[in-house]
Amino acid sequence: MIFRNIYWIFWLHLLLNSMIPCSSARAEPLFTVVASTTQIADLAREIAGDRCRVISILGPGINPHGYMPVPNDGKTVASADLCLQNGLHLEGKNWMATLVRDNGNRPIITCSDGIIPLHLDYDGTVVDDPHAWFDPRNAAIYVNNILKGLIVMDPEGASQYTARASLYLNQLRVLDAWITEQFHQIPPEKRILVTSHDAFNYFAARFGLTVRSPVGWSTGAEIGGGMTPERRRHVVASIREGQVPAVFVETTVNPKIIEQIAQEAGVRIGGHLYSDAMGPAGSAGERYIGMMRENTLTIVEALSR
Amino acid sequence: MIRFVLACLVACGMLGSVSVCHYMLTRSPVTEPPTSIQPTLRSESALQTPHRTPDQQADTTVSPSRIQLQNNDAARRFFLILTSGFNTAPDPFALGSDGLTEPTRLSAQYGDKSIITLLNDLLRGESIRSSEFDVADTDITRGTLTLFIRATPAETDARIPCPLRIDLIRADGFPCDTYTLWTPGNGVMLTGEATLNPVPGSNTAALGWELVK
Ligand SMILES: [Zn+2]
Repeated sequence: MIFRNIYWIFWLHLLLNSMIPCSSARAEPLFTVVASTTQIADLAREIAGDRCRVISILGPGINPHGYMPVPNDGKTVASADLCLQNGLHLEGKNWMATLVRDNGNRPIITCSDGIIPLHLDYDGTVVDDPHAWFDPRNAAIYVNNILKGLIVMDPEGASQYTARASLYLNQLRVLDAWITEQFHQIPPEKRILVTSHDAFNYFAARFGLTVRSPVGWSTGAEIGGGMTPERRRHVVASIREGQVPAVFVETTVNPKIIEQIAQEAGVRIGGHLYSDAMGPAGSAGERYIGMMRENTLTIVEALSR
Repeated sequence: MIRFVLACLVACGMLGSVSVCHYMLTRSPVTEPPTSIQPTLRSESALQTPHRTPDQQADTTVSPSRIQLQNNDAARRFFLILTSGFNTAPDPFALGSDGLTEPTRLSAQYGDKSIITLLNDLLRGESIRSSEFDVADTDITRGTLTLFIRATPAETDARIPCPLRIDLIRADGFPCDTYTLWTPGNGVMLTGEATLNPVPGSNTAALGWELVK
């Protein structure tokens, strides 16, 4: 009799356990967020956590200025609950906004909304610099914009998104202070950053560097973009005049031009900097904070010698 | 029949316990948003005037520890005067600082109560008076209350350590205690705890006591 009761209890227990989802198992993401670039995807992942699947259209090391979308990108965007773009024409010819418009017109957030853009003057033509994420204070604005978008998309997840965003903003605060400390080790006259294209103006403005680059704000053919012989001459002259010890290769730009300039000016290559895209999986530059840290260490080490 | 009833009871019990566990594991904490208080900005010179009647002054000069409370409510209500040794600026890393809304410059919190949330700039040497707040009886008995303070120095003052003075005043005007926090001076905002004694006269350096002597 007792054994028969135990038998029934055992089967009842199994039945009930199968009806209630196991709380320790990781739940499938509830939403899909599609970002144009790797840095925006990383910021979104930090805030969305496991509630969302975050997909980046661009992979590590891919240049956003000249990117040509492929048919699969349209399918990815069509599956999104929320799309994220940098804005300020980082996505050359507004390819992300066009993808969204042509594939279901999904909700889209422009992460740079609310920042005060730096204006770059190219022979009288003024262009807004799109590389705003290189100032951690602007990255905080990106985070807040992404947070607002996620809360509109998924109000039930608001408390989780807000908690993650709050923690991440504190990490950005620490990053910002740490980078400031690092650059104070370099004498002001040696803080000259020569890179392939004009990606580091926000970084330079925040941390007291002067930037020189042979290629304008974009590697594409937009106004103010691309290399001109005059810009190249100016960069070589600046390196010699400022006795700059090193120049830097960018991970998203062909190193040929900057290598030629280094040879011509008689300086060495100081290292590789993550610029318009972050590093591959497993590298230190895979995350925004790691990318900023690695860039800082590379620059400080090369310019301190 | 007995077996069936027994099985039903066991099933109900198990379902109930599993549901309770599931609820405990998945419930989200309920949080109340902090209330924003519009501060009253005062000049430093205005703060040098004690908030007391001549009779009260006479009492305190004799023996601060002998101050008798008029009633329990008065003994529990306090306000702060914060005097900044630096220009404040918006915190660029605050939640909600999307470049469009005004972020907090300075805030003071007691437990889960927001005492001050300053959305305007406070200049070096200026003071701010908080609204009145109740202190827990246990803190009054222990003679210690802890405030959590955050303030963001402007770029011009961010590279040197600067003071922030916190004066605790009882609602009827008796100064209790004073505490000074310092900014880190490395570009990072000030975040710190100020531990104060809510008994009037516990610190004679508190605002107003030096004038009484
Ligand atoms: Zn670029």
